[in-house]
Amino acid sequence: MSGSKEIGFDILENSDMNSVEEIGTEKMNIDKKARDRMLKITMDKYSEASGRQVDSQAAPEANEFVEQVSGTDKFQHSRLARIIGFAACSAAAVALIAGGMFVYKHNASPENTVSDPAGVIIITTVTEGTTAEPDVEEEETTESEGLSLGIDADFISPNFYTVRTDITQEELNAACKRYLDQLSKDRSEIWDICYAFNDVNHDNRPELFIKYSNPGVGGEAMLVYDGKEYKSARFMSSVSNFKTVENDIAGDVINICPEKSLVYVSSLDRFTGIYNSQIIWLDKNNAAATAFELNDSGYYMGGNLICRPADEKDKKPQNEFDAVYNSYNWQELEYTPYEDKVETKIQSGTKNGTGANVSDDKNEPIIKTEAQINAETKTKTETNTNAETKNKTGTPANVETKTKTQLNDVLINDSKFVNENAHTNRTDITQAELDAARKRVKENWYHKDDLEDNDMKYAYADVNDDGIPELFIKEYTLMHGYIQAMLVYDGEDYYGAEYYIDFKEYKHDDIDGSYFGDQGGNIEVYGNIMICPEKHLIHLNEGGDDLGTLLKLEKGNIMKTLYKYSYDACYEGGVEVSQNPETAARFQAALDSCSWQELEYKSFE
Amino acid sequence: MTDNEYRGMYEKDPYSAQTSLFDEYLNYVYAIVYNKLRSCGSREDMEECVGDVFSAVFLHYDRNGSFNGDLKALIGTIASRTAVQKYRSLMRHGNTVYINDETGELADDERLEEKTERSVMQGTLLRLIKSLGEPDSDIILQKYYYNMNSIEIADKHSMSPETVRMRCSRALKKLKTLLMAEGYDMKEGNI
Repeated sequence: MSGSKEIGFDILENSDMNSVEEIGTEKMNIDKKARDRMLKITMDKYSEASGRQVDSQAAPEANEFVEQVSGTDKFQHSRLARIIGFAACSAAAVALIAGGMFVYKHNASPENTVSDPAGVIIITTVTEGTTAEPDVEEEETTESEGLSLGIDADFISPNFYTVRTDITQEELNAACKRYLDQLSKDRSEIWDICYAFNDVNHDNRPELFIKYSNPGVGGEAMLVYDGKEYKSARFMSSVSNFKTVENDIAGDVINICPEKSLVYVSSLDRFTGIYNSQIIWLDKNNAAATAFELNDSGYYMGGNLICRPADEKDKKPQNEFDAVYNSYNWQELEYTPYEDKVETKIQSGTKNGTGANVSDDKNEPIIKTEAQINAETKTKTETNTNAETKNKTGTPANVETKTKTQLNDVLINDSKFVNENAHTNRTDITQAELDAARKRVKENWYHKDDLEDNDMKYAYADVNDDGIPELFIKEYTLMHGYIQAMLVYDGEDYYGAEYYIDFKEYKHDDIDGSYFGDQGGNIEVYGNIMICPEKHLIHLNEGGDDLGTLLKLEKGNIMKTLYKYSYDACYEGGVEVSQNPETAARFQAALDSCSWQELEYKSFE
Repeated sequence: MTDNEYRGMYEKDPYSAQTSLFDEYLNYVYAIVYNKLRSCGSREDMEECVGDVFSAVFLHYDRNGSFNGDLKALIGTIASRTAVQKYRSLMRHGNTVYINDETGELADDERLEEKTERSVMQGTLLRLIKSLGEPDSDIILQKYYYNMNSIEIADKHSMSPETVRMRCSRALKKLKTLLMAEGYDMKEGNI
């Protein structure tokens, strides 16, 4: 608005005391380490000022805070038996690596020692139970003349591994196939699935890399073999100098440097425009040590914050990370299309009846049996299409739906999670009135950006059989691909429908990650919404490992949350249940007991 | 915690009493300190300042034998004054001369007018942020005022970072719209 006064969040600085409380007493993120540091600072200052002897050691982990060294925070760790030491030998980032030493201890054994003749990285294990602390410190101080960093087990993620030595490539192929089959079934929104094997850490048990496309973005991920199956590999990511979180080794791009057992993973944060990138070292037991990291909070080396961006335009952290990245010989993975291979074998008639490997190429998944192919053809042909063309069970939605009557009793019908949405008791509502309200929804829709407001469509469906159809909106967004929303009519306008969830001690009216009051839709899903009017049910399917949310809309627009099964929380009837195969099976059985319908969307114009 | 409760605890175990008081008021003190030092101090500066505040609070009790009334108000006052001192110290070290003291600010009519206008703007922004509803109001403040990244926010709210980004994006758009209706434009540099 021309001539308007500018306002920013900095206006909140120097607020009066009441506002300060409102702004933030409970909103900040003070973790235990920060609390302990501040308590120690307090006691030290108090002791100094009062002359009173206060035992600062009484403060837990009080000795963790160590003075900054050369502008870098260093933490002295009390449990050096678990330490990784990383010593770097030059001020320049590239040279830091070139002269570095990586002392590592994890399931130590002599064969875990890897010496690099080029002197670029030397990895040495330290024997369990030895007096590792002085040795490590001594090595660091003698080998390095510049920065010296300590990393403890907080920055290592132990991953699944196996000590079996009888593993064949056929076995790995079978495990790969099982993983990809499941992936293709679970994640209806992805397509172009490819795979590659590479033994990054030279343990003779190749890691599995997968690559896929999905709406808006693609992705790559690394998996490790546990002796039976391929499992997601994890690493520790620095959120700040005081905090880490564990993430999957997965991102927009993965490159590898097998000669140094390194994996590079990078993703663009589409909100901040900043790349989250890591260089991860993988030991022979698949433990992932985060050697270098770049994210929106700064550039980290060995878990220690080296520099943080002064402002949004500050490229120093990026440049530091890039310098390290460029010092390695990175390889792109050579992927093999998963679907193409299956189809090729079908066409050539190369099939067997056992499901065992019949390929000459040991790096390719086994071929499916004819029965398997026949059984899966219907779904696989749909796999690479957009999420909205399928339902959760993988059944082509507008081809057929199925009802497993024998499972009818598995569906629970009530819930402790109830949300009362706006509704009306009017009986004189006309379709023309609803259409006018629908048009107002579009006019007031929140996606006003030219690039985002694409292809908006609508559908009516009377899910709760109250004679007033609910409105469903579908649109394409650059960031999330197709999203869908559900709105209910209150007698005057359509409003976003809400459901209730108590999500890990934080109560949400909706947890789908997107709501925008007024006339936007609170039920908004980055995937697909299916309905079962017969039982007044709605299935929100957001893809991934998430089986979604199963809701029941009763008359009066009362929404009950029957099931939720997501990667981090599962609820059944409004009661939290553990995430395990049995829970998933119950949810899947509940889904399978219903006749799901695809919404038939129409263009607004 | 009341004055009497603290005294009772202190008589039994001074360290436990101080730790309890520290834990009860840490968020409050940190919020005040952050509010003053946000634009000029690092996280380490703020933690140092928090230490100064609690140290001063403990010393105050030692000297007076009580907190004389409203403990929270006393801690708030000490925190605010300590943070202002720290702010001035940081500004001096940053080669910026701090020329206005609080008396000077209040004596100047123009500055008083500025302060009033600022207060109105603060109130407006807070009101509109609050109108976004939970958890979006929290997320917006954490992202843009406390400069927490989406991973930190996600951890605090038990959401995925992706969800946080999406909510944040939507809430910011709504906030901009609400501000425009009140005659304000969101400063681009503050987003």
